[in-house]
Amino acid sequence: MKRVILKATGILVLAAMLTGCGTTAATDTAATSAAAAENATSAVAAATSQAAEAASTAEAAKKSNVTITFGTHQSGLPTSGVVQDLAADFEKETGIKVDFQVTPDDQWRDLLKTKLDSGEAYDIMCVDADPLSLVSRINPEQNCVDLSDQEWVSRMDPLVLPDVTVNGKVYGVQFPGTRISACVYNKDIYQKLGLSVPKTYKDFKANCQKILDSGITPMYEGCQNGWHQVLPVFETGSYYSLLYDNLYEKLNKNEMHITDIKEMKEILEEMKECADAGYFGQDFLSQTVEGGVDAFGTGEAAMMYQSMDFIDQVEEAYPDMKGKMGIFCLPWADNQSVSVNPTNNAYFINKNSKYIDECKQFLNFLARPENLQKRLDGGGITSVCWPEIPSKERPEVQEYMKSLPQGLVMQVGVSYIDPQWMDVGKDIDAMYSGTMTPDEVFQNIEKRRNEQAELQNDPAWAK
Amino acid sequence: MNLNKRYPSYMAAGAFVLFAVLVFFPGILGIFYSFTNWNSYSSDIRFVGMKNYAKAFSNTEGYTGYIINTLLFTLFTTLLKTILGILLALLFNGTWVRGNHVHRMIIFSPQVMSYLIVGLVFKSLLNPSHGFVNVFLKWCGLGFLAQSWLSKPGLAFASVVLVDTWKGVGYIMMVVLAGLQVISTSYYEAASMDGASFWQQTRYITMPLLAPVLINVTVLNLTYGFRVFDIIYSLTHGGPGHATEVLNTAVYAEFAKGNYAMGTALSSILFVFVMSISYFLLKAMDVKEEADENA
Amino acid sequence: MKTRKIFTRILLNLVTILLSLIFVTPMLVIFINSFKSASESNTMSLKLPSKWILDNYFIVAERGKITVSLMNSLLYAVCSAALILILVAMAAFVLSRNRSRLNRFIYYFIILGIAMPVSNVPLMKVMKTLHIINTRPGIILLYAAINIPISLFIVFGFVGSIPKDIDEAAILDGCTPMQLFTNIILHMLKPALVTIFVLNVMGVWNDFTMPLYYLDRSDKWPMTLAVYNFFGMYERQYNLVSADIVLTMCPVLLIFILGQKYIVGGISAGAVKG
Repeated sequence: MKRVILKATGILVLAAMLTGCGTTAATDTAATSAAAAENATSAVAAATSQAAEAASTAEAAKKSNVTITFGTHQSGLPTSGVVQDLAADFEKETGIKVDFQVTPDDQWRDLLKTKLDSGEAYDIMCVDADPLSLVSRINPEQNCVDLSDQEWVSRMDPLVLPDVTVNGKVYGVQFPGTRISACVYNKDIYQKLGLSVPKTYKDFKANCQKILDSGITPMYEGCQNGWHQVLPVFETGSYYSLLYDNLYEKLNKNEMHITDIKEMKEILEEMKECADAGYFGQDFLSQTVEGGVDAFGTGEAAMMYQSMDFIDQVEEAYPDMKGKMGIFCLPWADNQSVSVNPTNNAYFINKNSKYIDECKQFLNFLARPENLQKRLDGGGITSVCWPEIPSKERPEVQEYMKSLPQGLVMQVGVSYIDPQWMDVGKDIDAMYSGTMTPDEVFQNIEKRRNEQAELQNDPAWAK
Repeated sequence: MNLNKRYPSYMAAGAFVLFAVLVFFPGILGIFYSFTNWNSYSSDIRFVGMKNYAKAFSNTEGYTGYIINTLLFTLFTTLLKTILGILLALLFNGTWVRGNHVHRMIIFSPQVMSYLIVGLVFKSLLNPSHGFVNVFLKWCGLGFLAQSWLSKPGLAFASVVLVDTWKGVGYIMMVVLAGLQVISTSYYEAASMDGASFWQQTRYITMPLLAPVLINVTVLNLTYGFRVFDIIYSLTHGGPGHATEVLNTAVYAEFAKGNYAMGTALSSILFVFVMSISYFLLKAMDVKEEADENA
Repeated sequence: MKTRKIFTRILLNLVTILLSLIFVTPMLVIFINSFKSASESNTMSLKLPSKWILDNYFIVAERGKITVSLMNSLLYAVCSAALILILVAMAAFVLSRNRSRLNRFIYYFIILGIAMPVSNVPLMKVMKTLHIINTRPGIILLYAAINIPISLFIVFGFVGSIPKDIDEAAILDGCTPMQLFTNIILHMLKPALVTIFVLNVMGVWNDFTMPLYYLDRSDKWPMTLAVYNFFGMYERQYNLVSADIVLTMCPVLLIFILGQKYIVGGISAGAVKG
């Protein structure tokens, strides 16, 4: 195929040069020199492509010389590289090479959508999977291979299956388990300042002020990544659900509106208040979430809202911090409940892939018990959604979860929240820098929901 | 001899065909879609007339703000690059400075960095707590000048403009320099004899002769400015909030949302903008050229 | 009078040195950081590394698939620039010389492309229909097509500065149009052609969005995309990222140093008649 096209390229150029000049002998020079140039060009092209092919064949000559492409976003792969390690093991065993293509988070959804729309996507796709937006994101019935008959389906946590299922058919495999986030705090600093864990927003504010007065940043915040600042708004979903009966269902049926949740607006106002008071430090708009590890390890910051593997990360980088971190429920708007997020990214196989069998082999390989264990031990997660592998959740976390009422985070239970996550992040930045009011941010969430619903022809909005 | 025979049009065919197939046709198709409800959720595409355009100008989405930002960005970068470029070119055209070529080379060199890299590097240099700029200012005892360069609304916009100038001015300088070197020295000799100062010479000889080059440069700067995306995307992502958002970042955001029709509508507005401005400048150039030919 | 002159001279030199420093510092910072350890490079500063670590470069070369992506980058940049050069030179020549109604239309039609937005989805469909999506020739043709308008704009202006008398003389000597073009015009266009060649090589070298959409396998990726991918995986290791940046910049810098004379010469010479 390549050759044919190269020739076509040549012809295009040559045709342009030859058509008119063929009659006169003198034009030969022109034609030859152009032809020579073009030959040289295609020779280089052929040489490089051959070299590349030769390289990949040599590596995989043992069993198979298939390379499957694995498209993912940055946070789809744990930074420890454990998935790549597993893929290397897989290659050793089968000869099938997995070619990882990592795209930055913010570009991933758009890129994947464009690729799927034109029918040219990766063999395996790593996609954030939740029952509400899966169809709009990748439309599995049209684009993905039905995996319902695979052996591992029965071993996966039944609670997670809905995330990767459309109309009764399973299309994907998920590995990371349920996540919760909470406020991680430095026990030493709390003790030194004689503070106790806050149960109300008022207490929380008072604590922040005392920590700030002692010269420490009370709360670490990193807005650079674009998503962290949004967590308080939607991960307080369990609290909203306690206050309003059947909230999520009513929101999805368009019987209630985001603007009916007064507490959400209250939280936005409180966030603004804390930012203005300096509780997030001075530079939180240019800080990254990853920077939290250092800020915590060096004692520059006393608290951070994070998922539980954060504690592991800090302990690994700063062994001194072992046992010095505790968690509590961040009392935005006096919230005292835990929001659970059972969804995560999952792997799907492209229906148009030439190597469907090889892709299935890879997923089967990842789903083997010993590899599940390896994945869990590889870091980045505290549990896998496979009941056969025991969770590594800390006892204090398990206790914390039992001590408070639980609910689902909003982005998993309510439609059109997750797709606008990054937009809300930008609005919140604008609120912090003074160009938007909390109320405007609040109203925008409702507005974007209506827009998305209209775009997707949601029947609940048609009325 | 017949012009058509001497300069046969088929010689333009290669460029024409390649352009038509891979740029014009998809581009026009895109513009056509801006009058529909095309999106990534359904395959049923319906004609909706001017609805998307009405929305773009109604300011419910803050697009008018983005349009203003785009205009301001274009205005400031064009002015800065042109003025600085001319000054630098004048400086290096003379013999005042030692190591002329080395300096020239250094000032041009950011041109070879991709925007992706420029964004990454400056994000780190401008970091308020440990970035080079603030650390350096504090070291000089100018700590009060240290700022959150990329996260205060007005300042972020200025930073983006300055970084873009940093990257682009070298190219403009080179172009102007090339223009200067073609101007015959006899003009200046005559002027010197009449006792004209350097600035007088610049004003009355250099600038008029440089006019065609400057038009060229302005076209390049304007078309770049209107379509700017990479540098903003990699430096601020349109933030803080929406302070540095421009038309092309909005186009990008609409595509990311799956609202393809709105995205193409916005980029079509941009197309019309750039096209009309380029048209006037090109016309000006044409008129000038014809005047020269007749002279 | 004389002291004033000397004073101005010193002042100008100082200003220039200061300016050059502003321009060179960011690159210096990258260069220095590429030799630091991961923790040292956390703060990107001009402080020299406590120990110069050359290993960073080897790590990057190995993990960043440098050789394959370097070859790809060269291939895409050089081939597309060469293609543009041939097509645009011919087009500019006839379009500028023979301002017929049709040619004027063709010229403005192509120039229109400077402003034309790239629509990824339709473009993808077109490339798929032509069977050139995900292929090396495909991306080369695409780059050439996208950069034709601005290149034509530059060369077109230059052709105007070549006196028409030359054509007359050549034709009288019995040259065919093609001979006239290859033997005479092409040589006189050299400065402008080198300019667009260098500009296009640099443009293609630095682009990373096109391969993201139009190439599907990482062994076809050019260097920028490899770097991009590298950022994705090693975001917090600025030392490695810096080394990668240095490696990507070197070849273009080299091209620039070699072609500097022509870049300066070409671009605007056409517009100024000295």
